[in-house]
Amino acid sequence: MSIQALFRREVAIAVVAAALYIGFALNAPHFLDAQTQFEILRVTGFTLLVALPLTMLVIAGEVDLSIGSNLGLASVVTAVAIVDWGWNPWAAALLAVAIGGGVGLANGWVVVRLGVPSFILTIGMLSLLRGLALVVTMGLSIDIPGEIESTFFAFAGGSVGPVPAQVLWALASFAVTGFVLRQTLFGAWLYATGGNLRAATQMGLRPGTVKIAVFVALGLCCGLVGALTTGWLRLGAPNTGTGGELSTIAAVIIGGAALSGGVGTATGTLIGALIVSMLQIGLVLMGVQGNWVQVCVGVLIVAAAGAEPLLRADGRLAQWVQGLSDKRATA
Amino acid sequence: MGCLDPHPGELPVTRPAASAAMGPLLVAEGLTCRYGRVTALDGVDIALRPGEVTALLGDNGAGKSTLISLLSGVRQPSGGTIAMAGEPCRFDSPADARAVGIATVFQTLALVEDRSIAENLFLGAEPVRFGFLLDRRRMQREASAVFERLGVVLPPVGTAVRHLSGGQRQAIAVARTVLGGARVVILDEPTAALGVRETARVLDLIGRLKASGAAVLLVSHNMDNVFQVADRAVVLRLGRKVADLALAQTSRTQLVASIVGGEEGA
Repeated sequence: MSIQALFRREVAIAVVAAALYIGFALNAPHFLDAQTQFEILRVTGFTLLVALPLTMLVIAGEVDLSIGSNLGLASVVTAVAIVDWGWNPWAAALLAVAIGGGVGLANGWVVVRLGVPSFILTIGMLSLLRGLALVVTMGLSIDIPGEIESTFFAFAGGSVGPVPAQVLWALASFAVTGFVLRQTLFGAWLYATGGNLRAATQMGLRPGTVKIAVFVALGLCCGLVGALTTGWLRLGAPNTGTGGELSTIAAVIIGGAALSGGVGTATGTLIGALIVSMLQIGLVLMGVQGNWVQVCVGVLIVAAAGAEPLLRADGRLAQWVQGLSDKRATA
Repeated sequence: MGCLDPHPGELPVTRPAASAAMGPLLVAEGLTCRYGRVTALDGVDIALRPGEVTALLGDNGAGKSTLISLLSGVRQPSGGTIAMAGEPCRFDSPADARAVGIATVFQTLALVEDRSIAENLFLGAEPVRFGFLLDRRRMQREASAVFERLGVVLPPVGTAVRHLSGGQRQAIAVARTVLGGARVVILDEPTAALGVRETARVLDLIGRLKASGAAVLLVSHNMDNVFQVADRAVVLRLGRKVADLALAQTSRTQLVASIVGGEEGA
């Protein structure tokens, strides 16, 4: 009953997103300026590039809190390879992506093969990877001098017409994620893995391999975003992505994915990411102090989590809809 | 793996109903299983015939669970042989048993609550195009067809399993074995958690499974259910087979006596 599912989640949060948009349009100065609109899209795009693979991981019943640190390490590695080692920026970016993927593989392997809970392991990795990023640069940011020229910088920070490049990659990532989740065998296995691990095992699926594959995909995306951030800002800062796990996980949870696994959609996460970036930018435009913005994002996560039992598939709302369709079936 | 399915992919329900007079399909002889020093199963023989429902009875600890775990490949026997259609088999995993046409519906049912009926029906055996694209149209078509043949009425196949009753869930798990081409279906306490109406539906389903020519092994505590759908009853006590009765010639008193150990049955 996919229509019913749509009614419950995506539409409900789309209404929230629309209400926020209208609220900010009326109250936040310059919110409707083209520049602001594109900035919202750019922030949403960056969030989505990590939030979409994270959605897949959450569907599989795992979580990764080390995404911000993984991204930070990738950003620093890119800058070090370009500036200190004189690498071609494209090669440096490739190295960063590979390291990100390696971190994902390590996370997945330890979680699946050694049975360490992903929450605990990735809290450790959050600290470990951030520490490495600081060690590599001795805590300093690395500027990429203007005389180093490469098509990579245009690729990372450019725009197509008025549309920031990040937005286009995010759209591509959204299309791929949605397709994988809805149309492919891998998607079906992903939902089964997170929805009922024991059943998945009994029916001959390979839930462990599925989980590791998603950890790797997420790691690769963290590496990519880290490299792109460095290319865009021409700066490798060891604190890049700090706190990024908050807005990314917020987008995923607000989007309706359940940390208990088996539930979540790409569309939900897209709307969730829009809500988070609208809040971050809109509140600042309204003159709200930065610390309060964080409070607001927190409130929204709590509200989304609180709405979950109410909106669950066997919640009252769903039962009412089921009752209607049963009546229609017997009529 | 000892033997191959001579009818790969063929659904038993499409065949004309086989009669119980045919030779046995699955024959197990001298099955023994030890856990350390404990002998859970001691030299048990059992034969399952197409188009026949065999009830497996016994008190708690009699060895019923051990026997079905051996037949379904979950555990490996310490001694004895299993043969399908005359070919000796060895199962290292449930997948091996499934491959020769023995499917087991465990009490947990192995369903994913938040996914659709169709997806659950094909879990682990999804039809795909180009090796990776779910063939949803084929899933829908085959799901409707198998439910129709089994006489099961369910909500649309896109409905999440979460919304279904216990009997409906049981029906999906049974239909899954049929879709997988199972010729021997083992049902572990299928009516244990069900109400009266739901139980009646599941018994009806077992009847249709039998009519379709499947060999059914029904593990149950419920005498009423057993007498209603089963043709034969195999009784275990303390790991040994103590009775193998044709139910048409057996009274309820006789059956109960053989379970609790009053008099030895036929």
